[in-house]
Amino acid sequence: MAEFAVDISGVEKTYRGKIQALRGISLRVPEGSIFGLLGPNGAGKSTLVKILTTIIRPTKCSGILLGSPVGHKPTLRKVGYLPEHSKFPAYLTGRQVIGYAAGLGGIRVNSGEIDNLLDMVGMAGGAEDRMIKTYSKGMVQRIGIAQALVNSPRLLILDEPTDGVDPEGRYHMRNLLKKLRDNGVTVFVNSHLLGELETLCDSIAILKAGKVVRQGALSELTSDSRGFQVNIEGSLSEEIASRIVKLGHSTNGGEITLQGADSGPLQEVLDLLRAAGVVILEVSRSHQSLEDLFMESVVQMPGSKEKGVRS
Amino acid sequence: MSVLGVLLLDSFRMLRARRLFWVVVALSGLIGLIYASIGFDQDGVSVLFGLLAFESELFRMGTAEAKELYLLLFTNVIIPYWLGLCSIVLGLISCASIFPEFIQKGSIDFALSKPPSRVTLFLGKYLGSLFFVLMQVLPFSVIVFLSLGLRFGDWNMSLFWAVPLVVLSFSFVYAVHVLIAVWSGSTILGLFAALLVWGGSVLVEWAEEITYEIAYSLPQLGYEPDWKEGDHEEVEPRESSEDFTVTLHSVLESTRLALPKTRAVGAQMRSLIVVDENSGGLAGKSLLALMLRDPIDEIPERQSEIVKAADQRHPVWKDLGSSFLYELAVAGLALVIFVRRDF
Repeated sequence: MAEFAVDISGVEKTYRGKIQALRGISLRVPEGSIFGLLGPNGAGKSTLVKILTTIIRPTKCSGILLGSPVGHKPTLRKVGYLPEHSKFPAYLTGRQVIGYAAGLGGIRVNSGEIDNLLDMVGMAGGAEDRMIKTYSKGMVQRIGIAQALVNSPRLLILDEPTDGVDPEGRYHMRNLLKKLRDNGVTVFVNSHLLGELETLCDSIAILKAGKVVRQGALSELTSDSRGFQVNIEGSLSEEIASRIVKLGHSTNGGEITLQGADSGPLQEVLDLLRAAGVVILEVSRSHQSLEDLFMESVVQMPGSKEKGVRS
Repeated sequence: MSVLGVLLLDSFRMLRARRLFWVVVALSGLIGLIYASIGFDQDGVSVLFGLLAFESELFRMGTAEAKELYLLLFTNVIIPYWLGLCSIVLGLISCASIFPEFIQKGSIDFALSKPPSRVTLFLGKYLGSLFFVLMQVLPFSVIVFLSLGLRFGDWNMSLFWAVPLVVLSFSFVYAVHVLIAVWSGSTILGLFAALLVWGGSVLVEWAEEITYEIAYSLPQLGYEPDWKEGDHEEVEPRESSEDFTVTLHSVLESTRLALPKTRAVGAQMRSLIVVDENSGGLAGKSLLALMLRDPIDEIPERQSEIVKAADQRHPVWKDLGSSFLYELAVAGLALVIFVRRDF
């Protein structure tokens, strides 16, 4: 088994009109993990996913996908893919879409196997035999995931999988993806929903204007700027608050925030609070959220010029 | 099931889901039923299974003319007008959205992310579209085959030439639609282009036919057209006209060669259908001429030969071969665009 399900370097894509969508993407997705691809609109996320699934031809690309060069069609037998805004043939039922996907993948599935998939995505119960055109957006997404799983993929690529799915469905989908990961499937998720990815992903990459600006294990990336938070009873007096601010920390009513992983400054603040007779309710480590990390990574620096790229 | 089989099954499901498909199937069935209801007895001919009877000396049970009438109705009316015109137009309308819908964002991603090559996907969709016409012409040919067999004891397999001929005729027109649809993604533009090219090629075929008659058939029959008076005079028969019409015909003939030939399907069928060894086949036969003919009248042999030669002036292999090459070029270009395009 390869160490990485996806290991690519120097991926470039220039569309007609000299629009550079990808400018040398290099990233690695460990096998058996959940990987999140993030980025603002036009960062090139969908272009990258489409290159991996042979929908778009790269201008330049070297690397492997499940041990074979990117673009190797037979390897797609081991890949499941849910496109963004997927449109399945409206004249097929949900069950037939799954059968059609299996047929295109060159595999045979029986009715029982389709039932299992439908059950897995919460679509069992009658709707699966109705035509797709009668489905809600969330139902189409569920069928989309079921068809992506029909070939028991080693790599599952999902482009905005929870688009249109209700909260309960999202919860079930998260659990399903975690279960798949636990069974050795690599899950590659392209999503805008940072909160969702934060609870789901083992590693992430953040794209900005066709380049990877951050990449790695989520825990490592967010630990870079770990800090502490102190909560007290009531509010700080003006005098104490100004002394804390002078030490380089921030205050907000009864809340004190300290940046950095070093616990030394925390002791200084705690001593100051105790000396002033302030009642300390809670001291906790604060982690940088994925949203903070994302904003920090993609925020437009004043004066920088970025050419618009196609998503 | 192979990938191609899966794609064909999908096309069948798509057609089955369209109301227009069932309307055309019902109309086809009705026309087939009316055709099958034509019968012959000792007194003449009847339609609607004997509901309407017409006495006829010429078209009676056992006469060669009755059988000829039956076959010519198929080759000269049903094939060119229903299967060769109406079915093709309805087929184009029904199948017009197949490729534009297939290459839509979200839909094409699903198909392209699967293992089959783009060439396989394209061919599967293309061949699947031909199902529409196949589903019309095949049952029809079976009806004609059974009717002819049961009525005249002639189990004529050559009738089934209608199946590839009509399907090919449709595909010649459809190829243009696919090219424009794959290039532009527009159903309307593809449909418009297909109808434009089809109309243009039919016009060229028609013009070539008329100029052939003026440049060759009329001089061979000994007629000299008087263009100023709009009349003709009888002269000594000769091989061809001596005016500009021969050159004009030559230009039209060359233009015709490069275009799809859908109008010729009736003539092709008449050339390919095997009738009795003694009857000389259906080439050059006209339904109108057959119906207006008095049993004691005999068409002069030379006239008959000239009309037959006109009907057979384009060998089937040449018409089909050149049309097929045209289709290969057009569909091939569509395939290249499909394979190279970033969706």
